Amino acid sequence: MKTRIYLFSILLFIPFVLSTYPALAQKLVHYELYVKDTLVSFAGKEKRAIAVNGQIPMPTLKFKQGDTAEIVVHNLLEESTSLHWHGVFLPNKEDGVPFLTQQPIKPRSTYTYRFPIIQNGTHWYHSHSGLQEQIGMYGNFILEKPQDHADFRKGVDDLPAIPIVLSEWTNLNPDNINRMLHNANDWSAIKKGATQSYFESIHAGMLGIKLANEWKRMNAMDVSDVYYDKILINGQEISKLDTINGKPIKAGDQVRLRISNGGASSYFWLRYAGGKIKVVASDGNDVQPVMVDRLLIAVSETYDIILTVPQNGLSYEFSVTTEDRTRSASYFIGGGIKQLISPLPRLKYFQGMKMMNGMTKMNGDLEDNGMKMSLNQMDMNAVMYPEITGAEIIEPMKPNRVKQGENVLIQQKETTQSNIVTLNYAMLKSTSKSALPAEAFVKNLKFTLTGNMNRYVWSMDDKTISETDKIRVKKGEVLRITLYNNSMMRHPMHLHGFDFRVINGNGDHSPLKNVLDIMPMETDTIEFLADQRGDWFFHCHILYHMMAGMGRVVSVGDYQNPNLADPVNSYKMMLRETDMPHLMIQNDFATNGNDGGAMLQNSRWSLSSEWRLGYNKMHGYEIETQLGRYIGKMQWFMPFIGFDYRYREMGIDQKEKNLFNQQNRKNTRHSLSVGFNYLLPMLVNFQAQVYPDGIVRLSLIREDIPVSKRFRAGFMLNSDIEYMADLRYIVNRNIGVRTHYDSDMGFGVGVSVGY
Amino acid sequence: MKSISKLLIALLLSTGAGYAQSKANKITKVKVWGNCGLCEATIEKAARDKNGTVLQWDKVSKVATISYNENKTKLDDVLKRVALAGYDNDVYRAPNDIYLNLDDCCQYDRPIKTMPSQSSAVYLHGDSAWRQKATMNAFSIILESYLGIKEGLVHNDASESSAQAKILITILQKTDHQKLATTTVKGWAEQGSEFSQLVTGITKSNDLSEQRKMFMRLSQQVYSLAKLNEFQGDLYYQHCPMFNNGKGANWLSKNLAVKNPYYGSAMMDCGKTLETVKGK
Repeated sequence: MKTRIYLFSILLFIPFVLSTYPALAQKLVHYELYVKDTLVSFAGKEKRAIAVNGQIPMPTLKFKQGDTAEIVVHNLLEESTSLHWHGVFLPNKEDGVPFLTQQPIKPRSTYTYRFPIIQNGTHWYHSHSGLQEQIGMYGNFILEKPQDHADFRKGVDDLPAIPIVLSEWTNLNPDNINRMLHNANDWSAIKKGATQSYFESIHAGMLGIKLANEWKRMNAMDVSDVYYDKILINGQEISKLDTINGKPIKAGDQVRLRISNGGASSYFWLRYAGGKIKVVASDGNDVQPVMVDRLLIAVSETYDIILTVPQNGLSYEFSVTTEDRTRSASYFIGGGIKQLISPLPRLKYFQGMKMMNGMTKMNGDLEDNGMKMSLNQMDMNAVMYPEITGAEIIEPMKPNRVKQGENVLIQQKETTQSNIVTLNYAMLKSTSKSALPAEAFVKNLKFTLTGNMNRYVWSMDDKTISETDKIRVKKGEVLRITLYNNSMMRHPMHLHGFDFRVINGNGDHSPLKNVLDIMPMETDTIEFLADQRGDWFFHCHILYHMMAGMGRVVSVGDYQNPNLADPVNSYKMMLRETDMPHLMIQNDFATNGNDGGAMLQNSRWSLSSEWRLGYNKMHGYEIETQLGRYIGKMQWFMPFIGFDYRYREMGIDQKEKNLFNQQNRKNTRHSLSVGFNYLLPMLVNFQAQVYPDGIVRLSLIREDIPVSKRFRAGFMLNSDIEYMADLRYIVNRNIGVRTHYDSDMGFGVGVSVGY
Repeated sequence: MKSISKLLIALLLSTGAGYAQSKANKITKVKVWGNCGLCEATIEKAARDKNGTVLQWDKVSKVATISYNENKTKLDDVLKRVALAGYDNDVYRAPNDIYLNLDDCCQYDRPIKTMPSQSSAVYLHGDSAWRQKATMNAFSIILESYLGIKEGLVHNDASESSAQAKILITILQKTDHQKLATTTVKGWAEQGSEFSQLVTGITKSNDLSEQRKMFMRLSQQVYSLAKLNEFQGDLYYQHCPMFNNGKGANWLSKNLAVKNPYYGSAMMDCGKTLETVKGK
């Protein structure tokens, strides 16, 4: 059977392979992958994860250009799965996106991927189903360059190479992370010390800026959303490399690291204690070597770097640190005492807040003040980097000195090292010509990357993938896409199936990539020849942004996918997965009653219910339910229809008339209403509601006022002359201690529990 | 009330028992390099943690006696903290920048020396710089000093840029002006005198904003000279859109990566490359 498959695959692919790489004989490389639930304890607690062939990360798969890959996936999970070959050129049906290029691999079933390897370089693979990538389904996918290849580089391709996949681990269930993000739960910020509360603002002398930010309806700012417990390099927090091919590493030895960022949402700073880092490839494509002090690897990017061991007797730290600088992992290269690199100092969040304030217009758009920003050249976040712009509190400068024992003349610029060279896209230059055929028809597209931090909705041109059609392109056309990022976070935009050119001023030698990291306010242009038929996903690779709907499908030519019997319905299934509703429930079990609410929301719709349930009839029972739709880019406006039920006997607060002198019976009331919510400056929610009997109710509400790191305040007042104020201490992710005063129910203390 | 107090007592007892149980203390001796009493304080403070780790360092023998709870603390982590405070030990070597920031009396002799190539920045100063430059052509010398002035501005260091300008003035004085004009530097006859004035201006000023205004004009001059003269490697003509009240200003750099001399660290990467001036 095996030989038959072998023969079949040869017959199938010979014409193709011959045309791209004639020098090598066909070789079938076969892997069997067993996907299975497992328990791990990366960060102190036993948690569920997914292991493949018993390991995390998934096994490194190696091929040579010219081989045929055959990968058999055995799904031993209780849920469906899929594998996507990130950055790999292949027929669309092998691309591994459930419902788009294949049916999901069902539990207890086996699926075979088979495709010719027609390129070389550092790539990786991961699950494209749900949030499985977060809990272990990522691995190295290395395509080696044959020695007789025309582009074989001496001093680069002949060095020992180590495949490395970076990832993060959290003890939280990723579904919970997703929900917390959508519900603006700031537990991550508390863990990271990035709440930017009023108290902390006063302490830093930045209260004015904080209030100005809230006036512009901005919550606390950060460079990343999720707090992770551990960072992993090939599944380990600390590991070392002291021998290569059995021989101990000595001074002058060079090693090539083939690094993929398999993290679900983390960017990583890469730094080396042994000197400069030589960058030789990006996203699997060779670039002319460039020396840098550090680089930031975006989610799902790959970089090939060369490190030199400068001295015997020392083992040099290669350090991987999250962009928010809360966590790092280390890989020590060389034998001996471990030479550390200075940890990256904490971000100056208030400086970032100030910068964001200056760049945000009242309508939520970003304004770049006339600076044309692109290609990661100008990192606005640098205002937050103490190592570039100096420590937040300026310490007295130390005199320069010459160390005799050290025999080095060093110019010490206090803690500032402004001569640090950081890699940016303008520095990447392809080793080969990347120009596209001049005669091809060029289709131009423009997209604005948009987002709403408060509700965690991410989109392109204010539309999520489920609200748009596929982008149709004829085979052989050049697609040129200009992207502008008008959101407050950076986005690593990934294209399946193709490498695109990043237009960076290097003309014919513009670098080829398949992930473009685009910072806030940047404009970048990419282009590629659409010469492979099929439906190709183009999306933000931050897992939680993708799941929120930030992407498009590029449909090239007419493609009959043999995996999909009913492509239209399958596509609907895929869209549904990107816009799943998420649930939040909260209840305060207080001395004077229960006070709580539940919300079921997706990117546009909101079904919410609020209740105040007293322990006796005088306090009353009250439930208000609303179904609304968020309108506009910033989603400040939400019209809704509501249904109120309340019952109470006249109690402590006997107001039967509202501000407008309308009679309002509170004792028993069940009524429909229509109204709207509008988010005012200072993040105050204004709610207007009208009932069939003509009664009007206006309310002002603000919850989650960040008084200090763990204290949150809130208030509500309305035209029925009801009011409420509360103060909550956040104990952990789900539990808070809350005290409040309510005009209906009086003073209460309780424990608030949230889901 | 009674039950609550009972509960509290029970709680106290149980934590006490837990504490006694987990008190699996281990004592290890490790060599930690350092000099003086100040070092001792820094080392011992760095080692402490919430699990009760205690390090005692003897400054004569350089031996640290570490007592820690094996179940809760890893010895490796303790030694890492000590190294990150600046002190080399048997397992970790401190980062060079942290070591160099230690107080003068704490600059102990390191067991493994740093190789010269690892230093991040080596600047040339005064006479040695002049000697090294003797082999270069006249324009390249001017260019080098110009880049030195720029470096000072990038670092927000007025004294550095002024010092670099002084070196250039010395060079210009040592070189026969007439000779520069007639033979070596093309375009010098037209621009030489204003050029010298600007450089002198920078030497005399210790105010960054004044220096930057003069540097803006100086950059135009060096740019036009670079177009006419020979030098090694490529130069990048770069542009900052904000300086000079939003009219923008340019400068020359040897590196494609933007390091803005007009705003220094405040806007380090702001700017773009307008043109590559090829070396001849």
